Amino acid sequence: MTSVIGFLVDMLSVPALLVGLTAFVGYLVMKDKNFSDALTGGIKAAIGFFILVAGAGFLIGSLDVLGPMITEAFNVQGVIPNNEAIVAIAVGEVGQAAAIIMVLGFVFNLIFARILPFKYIWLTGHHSLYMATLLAVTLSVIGLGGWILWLVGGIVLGLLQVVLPKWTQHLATKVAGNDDWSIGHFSSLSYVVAGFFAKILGGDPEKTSAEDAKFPKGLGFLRDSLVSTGLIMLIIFLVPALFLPAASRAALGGATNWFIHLFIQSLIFSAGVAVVIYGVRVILGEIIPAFAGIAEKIVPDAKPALDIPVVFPFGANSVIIGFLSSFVAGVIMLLLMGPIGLAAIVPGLVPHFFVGGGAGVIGNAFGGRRGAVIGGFVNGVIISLGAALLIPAMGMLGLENVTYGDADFQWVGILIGFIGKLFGAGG
Amino acid sequence: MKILAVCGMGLGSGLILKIQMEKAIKQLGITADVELADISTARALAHQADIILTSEELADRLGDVKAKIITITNYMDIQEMVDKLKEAIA
Repeated sequence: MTSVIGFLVDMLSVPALLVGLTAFVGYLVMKDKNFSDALTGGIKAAIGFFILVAGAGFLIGSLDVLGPMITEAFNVQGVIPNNEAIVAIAVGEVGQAAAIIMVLGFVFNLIFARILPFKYIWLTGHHSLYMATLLAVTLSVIGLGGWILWLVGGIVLGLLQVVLPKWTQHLATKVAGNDDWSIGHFSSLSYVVAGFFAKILGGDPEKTSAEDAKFPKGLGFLRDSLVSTGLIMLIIFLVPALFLPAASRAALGGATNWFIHLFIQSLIFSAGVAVVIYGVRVILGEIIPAFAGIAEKIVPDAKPALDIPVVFPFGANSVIIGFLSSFVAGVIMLLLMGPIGLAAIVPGLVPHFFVGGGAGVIGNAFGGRRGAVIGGFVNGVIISLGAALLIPAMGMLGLENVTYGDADFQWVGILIGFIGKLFGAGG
Repeated sequence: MKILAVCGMGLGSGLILKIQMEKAIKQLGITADVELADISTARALAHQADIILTSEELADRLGDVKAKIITITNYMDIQEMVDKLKEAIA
């Protein structure tokens, strides 16, 4: 008997196996899937977890080159907001807790949707995984551990997954013209604030809609995250090098030319992100359909909470306006924050494009063209400040030169750090 | 039949397309595999697919592919999905 329990405990302490088992059980519960679907689903999800972890190796190697270089060149800690990078690195430390919190988060999402007046099912699984990882890190920094950590993390995740879509429902309704679904993206704070300012400071959404103008479609390539990450990383690696003393710069690559060395490192970082994304896709491709199927049976009256690109068809021009405006705000914040002693948050193209773009569509729905500009801009300000203020709450992982890029990860982490300080826990 | 569901990162909205398409397939009583892809890899995978399912602005980025392209405006509108799928396989 003890050996059976020991076997189960061993199995569940390996995050990949826990994730695989979750997909397996999820498929078994769904009536229209058979045993072989369940088995292949479970195996794929487990492999996906190992792919994710493998990406971290690439990222850490490349950041070990970048971090010291930024510090030497500018005398500040340079931090890149990239969810995939921080999650992959953090999962190496808190993988078990993150996997358990994600699974419990799904369970509590179902329970809360059933018993609370927040009838939402969160279908943006990668954000569930990233939030679970954030909760695992920040709750352990303030001193929680073991099953209390898992339970608190799972309850908080489940709550966020029903409360935030309720908070953003008015935005989704305004954009789409119906309330069949809501936004399920952990940038809710950006979207709500964007909608608020677009409404009071923007123009007439009917007469000045950004969608009436003819607009170049040339920036659509930014939605290709491989390209947008690759481009920005090349710039991030090259600019600090230009500010280094000539001798340090020449020594960067050892026997290799410094430019080639940095070029390669920037590509390795992007490759690491791509590997992480692929791993996450393999995990979620199995778990989310199973979760959605179970949710339809348990809470048939719940609405889905969906990833932000579902609003993009309602405002192709606004996406571009919101992105540009958000990115400009990110650059301004980069220049302002170093001198006042905050970490330098390098504007990441991915959060500025997806969240800035979403904030642009929402801004346009409430305040026309001017609303789209305002929406993107407030997002750029929020995610830059949030990224810098989150760093202390991440403990040792705050030293890794990467952090979360979206507002809800940031405020949740900051809030947990603050609660920890109130009770005098952790560092 | 093989269908590729494509979004920017191949994580969130593409997965919604996949889930919805699987419902549409069931409703039409046909058999098809739906696979999830990001826009970076979709072009390389396109030659193995019969249909590519994505949003308007990403369809432009696919370039010339021999697979039929279905673009979706309202991700939760199952009727839109069924109608467009029916048209594509007709």
